Amino acid sequence: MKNHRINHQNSTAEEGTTQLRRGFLLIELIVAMILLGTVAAVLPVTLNAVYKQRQQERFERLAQLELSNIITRLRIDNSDHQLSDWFLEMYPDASVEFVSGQQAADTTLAPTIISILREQTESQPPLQQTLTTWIQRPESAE
Amino acid sequence: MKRYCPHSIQQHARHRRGAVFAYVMAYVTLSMLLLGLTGTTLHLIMRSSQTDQRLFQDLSRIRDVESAIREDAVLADQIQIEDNIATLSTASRVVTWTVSDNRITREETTGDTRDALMRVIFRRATELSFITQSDSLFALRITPPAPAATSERNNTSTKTNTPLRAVEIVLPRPTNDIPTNE
Repeated sequence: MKNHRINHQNSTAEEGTTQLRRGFLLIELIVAMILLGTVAAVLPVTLNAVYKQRQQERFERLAQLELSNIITRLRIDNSDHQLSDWFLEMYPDASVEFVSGQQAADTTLAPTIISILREQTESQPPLQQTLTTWIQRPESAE
Repeated sequence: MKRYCPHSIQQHARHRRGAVFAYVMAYVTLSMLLLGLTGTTLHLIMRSSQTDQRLFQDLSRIRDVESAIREDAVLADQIQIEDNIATLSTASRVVTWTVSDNRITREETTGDTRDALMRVIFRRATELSFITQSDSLFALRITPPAPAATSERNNTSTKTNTPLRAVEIVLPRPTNDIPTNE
């Protein structure tokens, strides 16, 4: 009788332990999944941000080179120019804008603001590189 | 007296075995997932970093060449282009830019004295050439080698992955020069 009671007590304690172990396994799994999920969610976003930043730097550098090219051509024939073929080949969605500034009273030179723009995704503003050059426009030379 | 219950111990052992197996399976699965993810990510990061490093080295060399050759072209009174040699002369000095395979050399001379020598070496298989665009413009064209494995994929993509292709540095030339490389 006494032995039977002890056995019963042991059996109940073991069942409790097994239930606790099972529950503990589930919690471990959930915690592991949450951690993995967090890493999986954060890592691609971070990597994508770094990648985009490098793309932007590359665009800025090449846009500066192209702006210098445009200014060289502008000084030769004094007309607005389109982007070079090599630049459009790399950035087909890029465009160039010319804004003529007001000529100063004490000089024959007029400022021209040249901007190269590149559309990004709808949520982000376009990438832009701008350079201002002072050139002698035909109307100001007359 | 030592108490034990054979039936209960057997049941417990069976439970434990099952639990250990589940533990091992979960451990192996999670470890594989984590290792796979880490490996792929590290591989991507390293490859991307190498590509970017090469690209920025190219851009850096292009910038060095650009700043020097623009200054020479603006100051020059006379520019002659013959094959792969551009000679930019002023009254007092002569600057010769020579392209050969993947290297470009700038040599500045006054009379018979060499004042300066600059050599920029691009990556192997980079193509360099002078091209005459018009009577008043010429350009230095730099074409870095296309990445071998990803060239086809890169050719189709436009917005997301932009490889460095041919780059042109457009330069002015005095209008009295006669282009010789058309």
